[in-house]
Amino acid sequence: MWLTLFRKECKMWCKSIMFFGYLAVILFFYLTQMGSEDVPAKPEPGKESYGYHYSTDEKVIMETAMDNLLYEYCYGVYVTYPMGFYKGVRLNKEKTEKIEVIIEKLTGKTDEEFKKIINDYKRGVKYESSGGASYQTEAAPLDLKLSKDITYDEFLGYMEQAAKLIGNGSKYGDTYLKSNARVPLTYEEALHEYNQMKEKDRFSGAYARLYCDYFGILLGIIPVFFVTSRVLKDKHSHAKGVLYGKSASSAVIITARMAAICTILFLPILLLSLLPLSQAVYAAGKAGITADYLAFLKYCTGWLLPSIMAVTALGYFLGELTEGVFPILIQVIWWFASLLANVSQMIGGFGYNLIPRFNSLGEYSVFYKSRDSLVWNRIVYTVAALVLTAALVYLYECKRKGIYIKNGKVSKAHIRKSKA
Amino acid sequence: MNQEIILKNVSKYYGKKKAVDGINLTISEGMFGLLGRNGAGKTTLMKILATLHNPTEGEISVNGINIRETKKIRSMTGYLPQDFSMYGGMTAYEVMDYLGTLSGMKKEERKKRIPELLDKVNLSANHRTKVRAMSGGMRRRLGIAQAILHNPQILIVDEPTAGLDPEERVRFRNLLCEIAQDRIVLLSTHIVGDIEATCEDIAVLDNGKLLFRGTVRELIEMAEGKVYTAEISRMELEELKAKHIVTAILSKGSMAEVRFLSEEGTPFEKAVLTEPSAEDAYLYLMGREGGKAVCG
Repeated sequence: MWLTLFRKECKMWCKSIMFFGYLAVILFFYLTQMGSEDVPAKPEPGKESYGYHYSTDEKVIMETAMDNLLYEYCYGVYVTYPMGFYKGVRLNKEKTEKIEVIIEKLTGKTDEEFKKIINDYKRGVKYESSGGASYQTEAAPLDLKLSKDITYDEFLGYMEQAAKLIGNGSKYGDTYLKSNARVPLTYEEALHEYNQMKEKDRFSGAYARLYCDYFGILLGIIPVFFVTSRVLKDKHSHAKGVLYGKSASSAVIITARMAAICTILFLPILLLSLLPLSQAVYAAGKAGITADYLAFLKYCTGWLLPSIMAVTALGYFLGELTEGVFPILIQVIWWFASLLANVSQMIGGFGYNLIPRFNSLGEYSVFYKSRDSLVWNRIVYTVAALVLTAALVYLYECKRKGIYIKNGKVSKAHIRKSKA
Repeated sequence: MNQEIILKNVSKYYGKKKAVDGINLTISEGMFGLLGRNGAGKTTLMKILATLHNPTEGEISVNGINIRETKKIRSMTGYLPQDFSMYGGMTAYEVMDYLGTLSGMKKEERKKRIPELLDKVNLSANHRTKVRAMSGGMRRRLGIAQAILHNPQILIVDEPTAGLDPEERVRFRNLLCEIAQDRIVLLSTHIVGDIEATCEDIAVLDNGKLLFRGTVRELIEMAEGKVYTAEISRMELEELKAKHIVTAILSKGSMAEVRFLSEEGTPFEKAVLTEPSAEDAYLYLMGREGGKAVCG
């Protein structure tokens, strides 16, 4: 019975406008986001630039953070991204003095020395006019360097103080501190990166991660529209009475429906992955190796399917509970919060975010370091989806027996009976 | 096996409201009518029997199986809800196939039964018609076909003829009578004519309580000697209505031929004692002071 019902649900979806809309959205998303991705080529020596990467070297992190703090202090505006949106913060006199103390500690200068250097620097700043606009130019570099006596832990302490003074989303909080250290790649580093993509990822792994990164965003929200539509379909067609009275168990009905939604959302993603797979196969062929043909299947299953399952299960549960569009509201909030939480960690900052990001083609070593974190993340969401499904089956069974009334409260009659 | 539904002291509360109040009833094979005004508790009782509501108190057994064994009960029950409908985009055949699957029917069984039943309810020519394009009557017929698809021993039909035109209603009643062979068909309605035309055994509910249990003949006997007709002027009509329950009025210019109930013997000279109909008897029962229970 399960398989027949599953097939019928899939067939129903495949004939729906919503499904065709979904196909159009994913195709459009792929073409606009990944369609123009260049095939990675082996770096040649002597090039001007090999791209950038985020350094994990503590010294580099400290120096770049220090440079940023000095720059922002001199211009009097601190760039922050609270909730992911830009906000320039100007500190009052009291807070500015506290920032000055932090810089003095970091540079090992006395208050007098620090003020003198800053004043000299500010006097040296000149303005140039061009085409009616005025531009600020630096006359001489700022002669302030990080003290050699500062340890990384002490540095982190000062950064925490600065972050508190400036507010959420500054460059000195935990979230953004390491992403300050964006440094150019050397030829050797670029070559190492390329070799890892070739040997460890066989190109297809790198493409699959980027593919999952993009589609993880879409699949963090789209399933909720499908499940809400399914719940509302039962409600608006007045089919509940007749469906509830059938002998199929709630577990069969719910799991078949959920599996159908997950399948019709997941299969097109898998099919579409043949396009980037072909790119990976081409890149691998060019490098004289064979791509991993199953890479997309493995990554999509492990990375994207748990997202689909979790969003479907939560949406379905809330949908059956409220029989309205409430799940969409909840999911939009969750999705938006997940996206914003990742703004500073677009490459490998997985944590327990619904939408794991890895917005880079390559960087195998960065992925390898945070791979366990991704695995745990996905396990948590898979388990959560299964638990929610079990709760949903129970809820649906209660609804079929009339124990739950429409707005989700347990009926008083049932409470009375339970107490007796 | 003897087919029987036994209800013992069944009650159902919605919060503090008692929708069904201590019903004791035995229903045997054949057509059984459940009559009562809107809000009498008929639909609640039907839903309890279809396992869509749990009784708050009391015991119910269906062919010897406790009502709380929902899976078994559902597999032996067909249910046509009051407002039957299905997904608008499905065709008649697809509805039957989908609901047959939910009833656990195998593919071959569905393939054999669906055309048979669509033919039986006169929907063969419309097997590709989408639900959203069906008339009310077609939907009800589709509803009855899906309810008997898995050949249930019990068929529960809630207000099936409400909103149907007279021709469709007669056709539907005849269909129910055909189906009632070798099974229990429980028909709930507030239309006395439907019950009179189809059911031998009936029960009347009011305010969740069982007012009457017996045959249609017994119900009619209760009103014997209490139904009168008279031709009166329209001026006298209001006075008559104030004193008696008027069951029918036929206007004849400035006069009116009325049919009314009277407990006191011949109420006035022009009144003629007449044979009661089921509708007269039902109204007599409902109008009795306090609605005393009369259970045969």
